Amino acid sequence: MNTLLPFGLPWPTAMYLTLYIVTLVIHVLLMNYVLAACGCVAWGTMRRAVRAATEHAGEPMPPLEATLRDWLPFALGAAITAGVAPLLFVQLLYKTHFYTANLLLFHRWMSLLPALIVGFYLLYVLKTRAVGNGPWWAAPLVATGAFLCFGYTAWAWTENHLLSLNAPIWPAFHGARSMWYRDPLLLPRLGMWTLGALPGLAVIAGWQVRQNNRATRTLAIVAIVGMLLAGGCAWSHHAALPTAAQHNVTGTLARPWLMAALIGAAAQAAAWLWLIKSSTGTTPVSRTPLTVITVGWIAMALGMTMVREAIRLSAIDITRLYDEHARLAQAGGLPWFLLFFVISAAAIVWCVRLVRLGRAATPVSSGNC
Amino acid sequence: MTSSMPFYPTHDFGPLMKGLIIGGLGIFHVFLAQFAIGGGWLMCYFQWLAQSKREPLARRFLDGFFRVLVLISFVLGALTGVGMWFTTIQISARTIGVMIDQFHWLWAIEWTFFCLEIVAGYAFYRYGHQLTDRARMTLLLLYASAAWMSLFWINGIISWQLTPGRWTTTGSVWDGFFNPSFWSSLFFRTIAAFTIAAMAAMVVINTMPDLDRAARTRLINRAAHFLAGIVLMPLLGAWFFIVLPHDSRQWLSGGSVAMTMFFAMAVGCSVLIGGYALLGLLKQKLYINGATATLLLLLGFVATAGGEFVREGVRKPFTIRHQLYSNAIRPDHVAHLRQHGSVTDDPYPLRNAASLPTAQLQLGAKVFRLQCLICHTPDGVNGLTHLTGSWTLDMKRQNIARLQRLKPFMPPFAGSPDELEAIAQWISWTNAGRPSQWGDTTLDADYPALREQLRTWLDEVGVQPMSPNPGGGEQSPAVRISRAKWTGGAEETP
Repeated sequence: MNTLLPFGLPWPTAMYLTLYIVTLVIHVLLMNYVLAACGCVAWGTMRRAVRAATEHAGEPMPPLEATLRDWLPFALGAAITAGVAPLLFVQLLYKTHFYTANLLLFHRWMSLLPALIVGFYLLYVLKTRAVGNGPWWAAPLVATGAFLCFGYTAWAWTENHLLSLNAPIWPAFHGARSMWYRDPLLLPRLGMWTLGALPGLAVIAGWQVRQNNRATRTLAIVAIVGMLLAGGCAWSHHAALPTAAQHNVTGTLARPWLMAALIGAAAQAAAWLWLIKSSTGTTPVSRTPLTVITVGWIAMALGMTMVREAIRLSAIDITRLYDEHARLAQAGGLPWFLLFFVISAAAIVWCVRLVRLGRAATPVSSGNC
Repeated sequence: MTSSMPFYPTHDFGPLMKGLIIGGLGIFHVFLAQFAIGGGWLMCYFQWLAQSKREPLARRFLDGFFRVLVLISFVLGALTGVGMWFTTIQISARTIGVMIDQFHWLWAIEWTFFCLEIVAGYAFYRYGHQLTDRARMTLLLLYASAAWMSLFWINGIISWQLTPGRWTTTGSVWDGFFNPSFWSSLFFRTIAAFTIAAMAAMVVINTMPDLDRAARTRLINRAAHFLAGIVLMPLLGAWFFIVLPHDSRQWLSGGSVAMTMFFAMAVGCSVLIGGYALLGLLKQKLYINGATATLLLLLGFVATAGGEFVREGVRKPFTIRHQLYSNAIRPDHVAHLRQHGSVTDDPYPLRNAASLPTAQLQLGAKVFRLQCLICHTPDGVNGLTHLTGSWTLDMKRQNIARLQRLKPFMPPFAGSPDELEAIAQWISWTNAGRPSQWGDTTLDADYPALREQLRTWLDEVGVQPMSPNPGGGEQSPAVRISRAKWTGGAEETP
């Protein structure tokens, strides 16, 4: 296969792949927010705890951290909900591989559910007065605990993905009762996606704290550092890939997507740098650079997820699945899905509009989410 | 026919039966999901009471109740939903694979409602106190409608497993979705959701501070209106019972002791809740305190547990009626597996091969893993040691060969005569305490004659289950093709 993804694929496979990628990008954005925001909040609480122990007792929480802490529970709920769609489409595309990796990791895989539940509740606990006004160690402990839960989930998904691509070792892996899959790609891949969460966080939070120049500058640094570090991990990941996968990444299958990702990253970096330079005084940040950053992030995420699929296709013979996908495409319900998708999307827009109109007409008071 | 059954690695859960794992999580998830659905409509009702000035305390109740709903339902409900998916993969990857093949667009529709539910819910939770009554009601109606629509879509898929109806001949997704038990199940679950929400509301009302008894009574009586639908439950239950396949009805009415007991448990708890609701609350003769409210909610949980166990259990011997047996073997595949062997192509080794003294026992262990482990354990819950401990070796051979006649809720044995002998030996070895020395009957001089005898028994009993096919008798080629389209062998094998 030597045509740009997904254009060289038969239409059923291309359709499912496109739906998978689009829904995955939405999930990745929210998941980035949760993982990176939780990391930032944990860092912020620890930093304040250390300073409180020395000369800066009673230091107030910065507005950026307060915003992240406030929105984290909703973001996690939204990330989990958004994750249902790519979970559905990945099963349609690569059923046996996905299921087998799930089964082989067994308790390791299933333990991400209690980890997410604990992490979810810790985010609510973090917002309670008991923790906010509690002993110096309470907030860092709770925030770090939540971050570890989400980090563990990221690790489990990475391991599951890599194992799903290594079919030859499945029987031996099962026979050995192993639940830990070690792969030279694991750490660079985990590093790439975890550190790559920082620019994703910066995109959403950038819009949230647009009125606050100091917070925007912090986000700019976070995003640029995140992209640099994730880029380094991506480079080591690429170097550790098998030759066939490297060819897929740099060949016609994914090269334009790789370019899109690089251009998107460059556009974000340039816009963030411009924001650092221009965000002085009390004037709110302009929408233009934030729009460039958002579009840049979409290009980067779309490009990277397509490159991810190109790497996957070096390990899975997708031509063997064409007939299966064609059979699946005969299942009824697609027009109804499209209809209900539009209806639900319109209703979601309506909800947002109701809130905006309602808040505009009412004096602002603090939220309680 | 060629063997095209995909093989997956299989785990045992020690002394726990796999059904207990999925059932336990399923009951918990269903209870939470129904609480979320009923809770949405209950809040709409209380919002109406508040904005129409009928109940001054309604708004205060709403704030407290919605917090509980978010903290319990949004978090645990959402994650146990994902957990159900992952657990189903762990228990029977082939089953969930067939369901997704057939209904993925409907699942995708359900996802759109999940998204709406979470946005509308959080919008109310976060900004509700800043909004007008009209906007609050709109958000609540959107939230409640989205939650109920998620029930609507998933109900069609899970009721299809039990009563696929015309789908078996047409293969149409809508024939499968609007199957014979769809409407009775949907209405029943809706009323169950309202009931659970009302009972949870009573617990919440009893925990609200600074309310005197009169105020609590007023709110509880309002919430009790959501229990009124319980009077329809016997009718809906009867409707559901009537549309069940004949053999499933038999399991409930004494054919399977476990099924009958769980059925009785669900009915008994529902009657207790219904009696209390009608006599005590709707007629306003009794006051319900926190302990009683909690007890009623627990009874609701037990009723849900019984009902879900029954719904899962009455599908036997199928996991998808006439499409996949409980062990995820296709009915039209049994004849081939009896010739070819069921585990001949299984690439996954045994994890305890070294502890099995003979190759025959290793084969038997593999057959147990593929065909029995989904519902049985060696010597734990529903253990073969307990079920077959008093059988002689010949009884084991004959009973396993004629499994669907021995117990009609069992699928037919789907292996070769060698595999039949291997599993009979493996059960005997397990029952004997797993000694380190064990004979291999394939090395006996008279084994060819034994194998012929086993083949004869298998041929005599045939490959059909005891559950009648739709229309009775053998499936027509058209029906087989229609089903094979969705349960077919085109799945990729590792």
